[in-house]
Amino acid sequence: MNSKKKQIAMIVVVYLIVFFFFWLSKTTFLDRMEIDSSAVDWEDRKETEKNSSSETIAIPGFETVRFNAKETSQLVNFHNPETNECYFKLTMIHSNGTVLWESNLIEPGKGIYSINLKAPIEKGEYEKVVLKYECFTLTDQSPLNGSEINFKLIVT
Amino acid sequence: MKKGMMSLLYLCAIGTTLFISRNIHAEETVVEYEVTGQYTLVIPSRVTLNTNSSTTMAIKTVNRNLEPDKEVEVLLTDGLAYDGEIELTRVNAPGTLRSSIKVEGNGVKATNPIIGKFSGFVLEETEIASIEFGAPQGQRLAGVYDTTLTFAASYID
Repeated sequence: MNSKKKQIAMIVVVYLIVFFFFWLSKTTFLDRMEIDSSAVDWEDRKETEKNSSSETIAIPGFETVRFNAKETSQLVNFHNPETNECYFKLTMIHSNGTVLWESNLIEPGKGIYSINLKAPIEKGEYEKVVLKYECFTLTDQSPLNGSEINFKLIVT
Repeated sequence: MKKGMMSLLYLCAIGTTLFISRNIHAEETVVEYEVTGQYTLVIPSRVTLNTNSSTTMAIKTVNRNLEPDKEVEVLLTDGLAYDGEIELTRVNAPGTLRSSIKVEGNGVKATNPIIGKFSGFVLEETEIASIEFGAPQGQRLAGVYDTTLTFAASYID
């Protein structure tokens, strides 16, 4: 009988010891949050963005344009490539600085085949005539980077 | 006599042949077909500059088909405020920031703002220049600062 009591007492003691350690481990380790090992010494703000020049604009360029002399109506091949996500506004400027023609906003995928010059041009070959491409966003028409294409204008 | 006549006829025949053949040469026609040079310049629509490090942007071409011995140079014609620097203006508020602009490690000069050159027949998208912007300098008041750049492509004489 005595030995049975001892056995029960031993079991109770062992149970209490196990329970104590279990409780201890929970309160000392599991209740505390872990330290993030990926954190490093703070050295002021660092960049979170990379180069963000992913959106591009395709600008068609050419060597020559041919016009008929003494006519204001001319045939051309100007377009805004459909890959673009912006409007084009085109302005053609003579090498002497005179604006020959300007467009309204041209949507991506649209082109212009016929234009009316502000004034007819005399026969001749004109170097460094400029087609200026101004680019604007489709959403609020705010300006984007642009381009100018210099070409030879041949008037016959 | 008969022999003489035959010789005369023979000479006439040769003369006629030569005359006809000369006339045929005079009516030679030259057949021509011209493909004018063209290309597509590819530029970034906008570039967001990094705060503490440099930012790069590439100028590329695609579908370029230039005549032999022809070359096109690309220049920065608008947006350069000073030699090797662009100026960004604060939107809807006073304030500016400056940023350096370099090509192959050299500041872009206002007097000769060449960015790159290209030539030949290359259909694939090909980088012709890489532009490096420095981190914006100045009093960084909160807000958006911007400027637009204009690149000109021009055949070299």
